[in-house]
Amino acid sequence: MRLRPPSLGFIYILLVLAGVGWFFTWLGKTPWYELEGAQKDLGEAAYLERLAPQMIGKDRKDWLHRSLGLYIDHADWPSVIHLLKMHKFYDYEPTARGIVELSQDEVWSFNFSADNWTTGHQPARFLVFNPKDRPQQNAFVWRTKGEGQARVDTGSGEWEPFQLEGEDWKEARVVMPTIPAYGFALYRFAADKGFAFPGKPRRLGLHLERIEFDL
Amino acid sequence: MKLILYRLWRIPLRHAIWLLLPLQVLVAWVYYQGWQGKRIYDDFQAVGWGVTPPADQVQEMYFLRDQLRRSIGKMLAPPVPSGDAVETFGLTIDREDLVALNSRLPASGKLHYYNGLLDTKDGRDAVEARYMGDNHWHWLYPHKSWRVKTTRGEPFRDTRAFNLKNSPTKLVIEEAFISQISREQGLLAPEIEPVKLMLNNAYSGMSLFWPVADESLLRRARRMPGSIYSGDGAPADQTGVSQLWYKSSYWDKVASRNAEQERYRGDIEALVEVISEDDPERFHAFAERYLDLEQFTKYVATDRLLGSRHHDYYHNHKLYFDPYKGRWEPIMWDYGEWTLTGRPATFDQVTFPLLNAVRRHPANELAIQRQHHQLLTEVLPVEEFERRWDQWYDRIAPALKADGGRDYRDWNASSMLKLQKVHNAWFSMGQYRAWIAAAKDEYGKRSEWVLRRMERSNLAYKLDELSPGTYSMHMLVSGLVGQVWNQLRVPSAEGEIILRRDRNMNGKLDESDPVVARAEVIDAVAHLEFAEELLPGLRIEDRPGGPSAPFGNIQFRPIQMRYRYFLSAAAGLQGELELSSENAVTGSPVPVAIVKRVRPRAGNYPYSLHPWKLPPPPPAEEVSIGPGQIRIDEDRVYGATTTVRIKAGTTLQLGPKVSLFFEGPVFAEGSADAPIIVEPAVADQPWGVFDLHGQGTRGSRLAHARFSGGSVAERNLVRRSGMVTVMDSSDIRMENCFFGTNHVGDDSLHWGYVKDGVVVGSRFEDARSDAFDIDISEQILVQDCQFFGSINDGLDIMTSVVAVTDCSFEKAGDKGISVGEASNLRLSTSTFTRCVIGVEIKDNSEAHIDDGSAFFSCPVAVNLYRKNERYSKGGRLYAGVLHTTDCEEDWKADKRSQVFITGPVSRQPGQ
Repeated sequence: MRLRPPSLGFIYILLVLAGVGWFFTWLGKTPWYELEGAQKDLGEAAYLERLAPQMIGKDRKDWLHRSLGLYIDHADWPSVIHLLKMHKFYDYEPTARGIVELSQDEVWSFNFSADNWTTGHQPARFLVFNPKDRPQQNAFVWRTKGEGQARVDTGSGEWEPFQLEGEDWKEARVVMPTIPAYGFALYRFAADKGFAFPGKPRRLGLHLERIEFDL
Repeated sequence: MKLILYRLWRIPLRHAIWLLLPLQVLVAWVYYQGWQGKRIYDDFQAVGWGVTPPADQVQEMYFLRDQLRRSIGKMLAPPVPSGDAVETFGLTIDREDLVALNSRLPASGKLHYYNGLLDTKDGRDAVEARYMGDNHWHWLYPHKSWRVKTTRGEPFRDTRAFNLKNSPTKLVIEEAFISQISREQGLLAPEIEPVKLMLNNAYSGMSLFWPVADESLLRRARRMPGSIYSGDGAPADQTGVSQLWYKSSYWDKVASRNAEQERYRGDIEALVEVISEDDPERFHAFAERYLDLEQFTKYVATDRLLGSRHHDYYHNHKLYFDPYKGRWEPIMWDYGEWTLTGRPATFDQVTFPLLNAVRRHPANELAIQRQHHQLLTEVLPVEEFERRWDQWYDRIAPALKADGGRDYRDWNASSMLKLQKVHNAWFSMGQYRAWIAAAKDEYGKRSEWVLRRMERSNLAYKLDELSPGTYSMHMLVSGLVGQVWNQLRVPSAEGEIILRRDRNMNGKLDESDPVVARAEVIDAVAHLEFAEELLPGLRIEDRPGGPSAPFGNIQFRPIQMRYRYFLSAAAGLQGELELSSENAVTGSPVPVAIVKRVRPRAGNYPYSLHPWKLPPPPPAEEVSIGPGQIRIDEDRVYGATTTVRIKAGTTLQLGPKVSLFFEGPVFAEGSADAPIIVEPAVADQPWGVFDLHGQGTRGSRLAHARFSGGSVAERNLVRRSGMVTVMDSSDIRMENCFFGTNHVGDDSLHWGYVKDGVVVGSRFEDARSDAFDIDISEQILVQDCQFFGSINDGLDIMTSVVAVTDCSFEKAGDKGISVGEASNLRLSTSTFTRCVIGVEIKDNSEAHIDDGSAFFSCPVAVNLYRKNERYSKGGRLYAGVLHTTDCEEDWKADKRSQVFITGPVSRQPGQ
């Protein structure tokens, strides 16, 4: 017996049942604003990121700031970089969580003072983006007048020690792991011990001399 | 089976469409509902708070889910319970009027009142109703909030206007809960109760019956009708802060003592002026005189208890000025949502200028903290909070379950979705139980946090030898809570040890520094015991986030306060001092430390007024007046610390309009042979008043005192209308006194807010209007008194509990006794002769007349009726045998009154 092709009516039934099923599944899904923790925050960040371009003025700025802050809180770095680009596009200074752009479209720092010093033994974070279509390796050059012991976290969450060498000013060039094309990395640097420096109201740690790109 | 499948496989399109029609209709209906819900919401964005966010599928989903849940909730809702613990209010409004109300919201909902009927367990009342509320949650959603007015002269439960509010909060009955707690503390608060609202016989949902704050509230709460001002919104000035507390014109007068006072605003002007002046010493003097600090303390402590954020710089304030006490009292109104998760540094979620000014005096802050502590440990400890919530839940759950459209302000989703205004979303009973559980949990945590924080009190001191045998003790008090320094052990060889307070704060030991304690050295140590309150202060800092119209521009932090004492030990100190101090709120011991130096303030100065900057309270003194004839030509005021004794045989001749004001105890105890006489110095020129005012006069005694020729007076915004006036006092006794003709004012003798008072063996003669007026008083006994020839009433009782025994009332121009406005009279063995009306019982009052009382030649022996339109009921008479002689009517009563005479009316003809 030859099976005849289904009728248009049968196909219609399948489509309607699938549509209804999808509709109620969609409706029954717990929305992000009813979730807790990271899911809720990232849902809100994505929502604001989506809506902000359609807004004007202060609201757009506020929503982008908030979205950026939420992404940073939950370490969603690709989204952070996208948000940073949106900030640049709209000519907004990204202010969330003390973020500062150190190198255009490539390096941003958090909790890092304007004079490029880390504070005491407190760590400073750096978000590095590779905008090129090939892997890239960078190096951070640090100086200090302190004892010279310092540490770096190259993204694994583990601290690795490194030593700054020299007589009066000590210096170290820390070569970082390769970043894949269009990839990003998050680093942390800290001195083991802070030191007092004349004319500075706080104890200092490490001074970032320069970043060498694309070694 | 195969056949069915085959037919399905080959089903024609038109049959498939028909087959799935119900499913398609269901989806279309669900979608339409969601769309409709969002459309209604969007249509009112023009009156919202923020900007409209761009459309997004998450918003669609939010409204769709809400509408779907609403629809399912309504479908599955159980029937409306009957006989449960929530009363049913049936409101019937003509359908056309409902259409008119909804025609162009929000304006149409509040433009006019429409006639309706209200059915309750009390019966049916004709009412007028409209929607209420500025915010959209009151009128945008299906369950509306209503303002209901009764028809003139037909109050509903002694109120003429009330709201039936759809509570927008998660816990639904927070306001009823607060109303209960507030009234238990004696605060003025409307009696808020949940009710089931049936609108045209359809269940509209659970609403809150919420009487408005007007004269009726005052009467129900046993307060003298006076000014009520409503502070509900005022624009911000250039500082960004609302001007409500800085300009009296922003306060609406919603009640007044009488028609003549409707336009009078001197009271609110004085209050706002003293707040705006920002002079702490002047404010303190004002508060002592005009603010009911005890009530205000309870009000603020209740705000702190559950974290009210509603009583702020901008709105939700109602203040009552008591015309008898001459004091402002807050009305607990619109507490708002609770902020149980809040942990503000000095306990207030929000503040407002009056509270700031009150807190500026550390003793007031301490009083608030003590009341807060008492609420947390005695009135509403955690287990009591939980018990009450369990009770409330059991009570309201059936009515709430039946309300399929119950909703709440969904701040969480609304703010995250950046909706233009908060949306009211549906909630399930499971969610409701979870919210109650969360509230219990948060209350427990908050209580623990507050109690722990209240332990923060520290004391440090620095000792310096100023000269041999003289030492300065610099006491540094920090933390949040004050303390009572109560012991000092001084090691010394011999002699007397003296501790003095540097009260004038000049840093030098001088004659004016009062002695705190002194003790002899015994066994090489002197023990000094005393109770010195050492209170920390508050400093202000800018409000984080900058100035805000509702929340002001400052916030408070605790700051150290410093107190200096001098210690005299002639033989010097032979070791370290030992100090003992205890927390002034919790009673825990306070750690004491010694410091080597006192650091300068470095720009961080207290906002609080140092308690010693205020003048010290006057010392207690006794003033004796008389005997003999004394002429007084100027008003005399005797303060609360002055006891006045007027000796037997004294005649006080008071000049025209001259008054004697007593704020402390008065003992005017004459004798039959040597009475005390108070009379005009100039014939036909009435003197003012003999006035006992305030709790300082507690225990006053007047005996064989004769008053005549007095009139009225006004002082500190209080008008005294009785020749002899006693206000806000207790334990008062007047014995064998005589009250003669008075002038200008109403009463010969006037008592207001008196508790436990006795007038015995006294005679009232030819009063200009009422002989003895008793307002809002209790435990009052009038015994063996004669009332003769009053132009109006012999005894006029309002909102009081009075026993009258062995008295005679003769020739009263109106009533022998008038029992009005929720009073209770117990009358025994008294007679009424030739009074126009013997006893009149009115306005929800009752009188119990015993068999020994009799009425002679009174046209009406007992008259009962409803006089004041704010009361629903007339009078109630309880009697055994009613003895009347030569009376035209034994009793008469209107339809609102009730007469319960168990025996016969013993009617005798005239002689």
